Amino acid sequence: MCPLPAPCRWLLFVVPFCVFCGYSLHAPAQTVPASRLLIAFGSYRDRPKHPNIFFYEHDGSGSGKIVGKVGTERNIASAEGHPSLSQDGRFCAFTFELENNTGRIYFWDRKEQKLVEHPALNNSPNAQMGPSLSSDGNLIAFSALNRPGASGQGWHVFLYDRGARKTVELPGLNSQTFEDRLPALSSDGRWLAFTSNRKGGVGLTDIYLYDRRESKLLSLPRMNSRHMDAEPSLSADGNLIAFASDRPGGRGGRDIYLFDRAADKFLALPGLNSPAHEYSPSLSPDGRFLAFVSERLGGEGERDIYLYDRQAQKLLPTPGLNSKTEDFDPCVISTTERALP
Amino acid sequence: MLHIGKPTARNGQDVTRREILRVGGLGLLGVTLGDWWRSRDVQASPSPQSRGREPSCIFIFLSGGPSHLETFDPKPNAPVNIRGPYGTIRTNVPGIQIGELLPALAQHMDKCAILRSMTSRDEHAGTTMMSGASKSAASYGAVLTKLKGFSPSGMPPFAHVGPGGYLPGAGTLGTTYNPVLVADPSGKQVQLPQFALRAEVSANRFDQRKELLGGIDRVRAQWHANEAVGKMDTSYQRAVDLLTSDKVRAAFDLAKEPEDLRTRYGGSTFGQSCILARRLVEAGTRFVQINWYSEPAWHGWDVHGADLPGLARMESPLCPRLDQGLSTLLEDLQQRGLLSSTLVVVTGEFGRTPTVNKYGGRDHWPRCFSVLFAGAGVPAGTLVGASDNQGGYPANRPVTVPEFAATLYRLLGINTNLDPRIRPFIGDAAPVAELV
Repeated sequence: MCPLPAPCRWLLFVVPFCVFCGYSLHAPAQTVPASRLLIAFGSYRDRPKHPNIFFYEHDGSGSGKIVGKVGTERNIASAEGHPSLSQDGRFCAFTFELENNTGRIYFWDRKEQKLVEHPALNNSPNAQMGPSLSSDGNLIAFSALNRPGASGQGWHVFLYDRGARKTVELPGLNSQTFEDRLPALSSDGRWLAFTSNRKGGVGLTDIYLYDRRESKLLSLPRMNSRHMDAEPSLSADGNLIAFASDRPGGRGGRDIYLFDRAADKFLALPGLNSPAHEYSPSLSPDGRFLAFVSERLGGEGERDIYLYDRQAQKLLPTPGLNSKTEDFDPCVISTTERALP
Repeated sequence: MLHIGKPTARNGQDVTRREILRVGGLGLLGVTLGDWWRSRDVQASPSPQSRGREPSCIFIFLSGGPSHLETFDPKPNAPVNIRGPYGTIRTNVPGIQIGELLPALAQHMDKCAILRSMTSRDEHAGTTMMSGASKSAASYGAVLTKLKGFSPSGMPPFAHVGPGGYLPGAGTLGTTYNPVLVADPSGKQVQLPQFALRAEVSANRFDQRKELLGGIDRVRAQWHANEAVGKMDTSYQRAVDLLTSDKVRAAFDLAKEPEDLRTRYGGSTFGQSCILARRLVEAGTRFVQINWYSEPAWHGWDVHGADLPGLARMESPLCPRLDQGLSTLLEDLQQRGLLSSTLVVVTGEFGRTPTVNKYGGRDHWPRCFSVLFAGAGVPAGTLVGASDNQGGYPANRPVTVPEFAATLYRLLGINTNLDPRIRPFIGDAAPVAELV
């Protein structure tokens, strides 16, 4: 028996409805915003001898799809690799090499779907490769072989300012008689990690960190080993460094490691490494996700890209990411925005 | 043509003699199994090594030409434009150092001998190092089959794992001595002896292997039920029996290996080729040549830097794959008691230029390069010969390609001093005394 008099019974429907609307309008925002990931990577899937750069979008959980590729010509003998994304996913810098020509740094605008020329960036007759972008896409760190004006022969690290259209000085970074390569730039452009075989390190090949604000080189003795440590990738603030190493004590072959500079210790990555080789790590700017290459049995091809969620401490499904050929050089960014270009 | 997975015959009775003959026609140059078996009948003779286990060989060919400076003959004190970006590491043999990109192999140097003064004149062809530069252009496996005949193991005496490419088979010896082909042991494009696997099988490698083996069983049942088979002469029947024998089937079945061991070899085609090679020599195949596949990365070890800059491919994935597969192979052979009777050889067509080019890579360089030997009585933990301080030319003990061939034949049981049959293949060359 309804307790309300008949003229008021409509309130039984209206009041709950109003309460519901009010709740919907004023409900607190979702406490853990969903991540959207964009992974740029190299792949031979389209052309057996000539890799191209592709883009893969992932929901941060278990779904994803290929959403595009760099639109360079496909009817020429060329190779692309080492992609690096700006934080908004709009720009992608990558290594481009026309067969029997020297490597160049190219810049792809995903929104405009066109290459952006930087003549001063590629102003060298010799090879250049391995770009790394700041979050706004304005700064590009890269490696160059015998670039005019370099302090010595061999590979060295350079920084290019797109807005100023010129290279930026890096006093005290490069060695004169050894080689410095594979740079990784933090989001704000302050920190620059790179690999070097200079003497005086912990091992033969070590990772160094350069503070552009202080023009100071850090040697990271607690991070490096007597073995090969290479391919650094930085979190946005430069505090976390992911890298590949063949030091003993890992799962086997090369493994991925993550070092926290502030805590001065390694962070565990349970379930990431395997007895096969893992290398080419890419840390998302927020430090949560790690994309990397593995040659483990059971993959799709010779080299496959895997995605690790540090928060969940597990590998995430990546449907459609890998092909039966080789997929490599991942670069992952994460955003809570609804759409990427 | 009979295909595993999609037999062309609509019923067992439609399998014709022609089709069964052509089953054996998928070798490098179209050898038929009947011819091969007839040759076996003619050539079969007791192996001179009939006492104990006959020596076998796993010949690993790093197609494209590996840089000796980044692998077995680094130059840490050279100028930067020669030294390259990678370091030099000690091994478990005092006094022997190799490139830092091979850390696992460094712990197995006590099983190996490195020849650092290999020299050739051929800047382009791969046939030279795989045939001893003989006019026959026959690979070592074909020559050994001709000279030593077929072993009583029942296994094919000569197998080739990996893409054929331009590499030699039997050359002028005739198609009878061609190897059996296994294009891809990892399962993507498996081609078990003279059978072709349809491309439509499942993309999953494990499913492919199941499909392959199931297909063999179906073919076997089909053949044995077929009247045409019963009417064939003995040679053809024996050919069929060989290809469908349990022993051969088992030898090619990588699924019989423990998963963790297969993982230790590495999931790459090269890693799985190494474990397959071990299985084949263990079962009685005399000579297994592994061709490092050229796809997709522009001719394997051919790191001119003209596709992607620099020597980056050496760092990933070439050297890590070699390091993992080869070191596990050596360890596995030793643990099984096979290393003393199995010669492992690792080489390419040539070395690479001491000076890094403008692409950051290195170009072809046959004048001085390295070869790694292990097993079969090779003096372990030794260096033979040396290059100059830039790795450009032999500083001492230059070894020519015919001498390399003579060394290999001697280690595999051919009396290179007294057996006149070897002369057409090595001329007057003598084996490297330090290695035999």
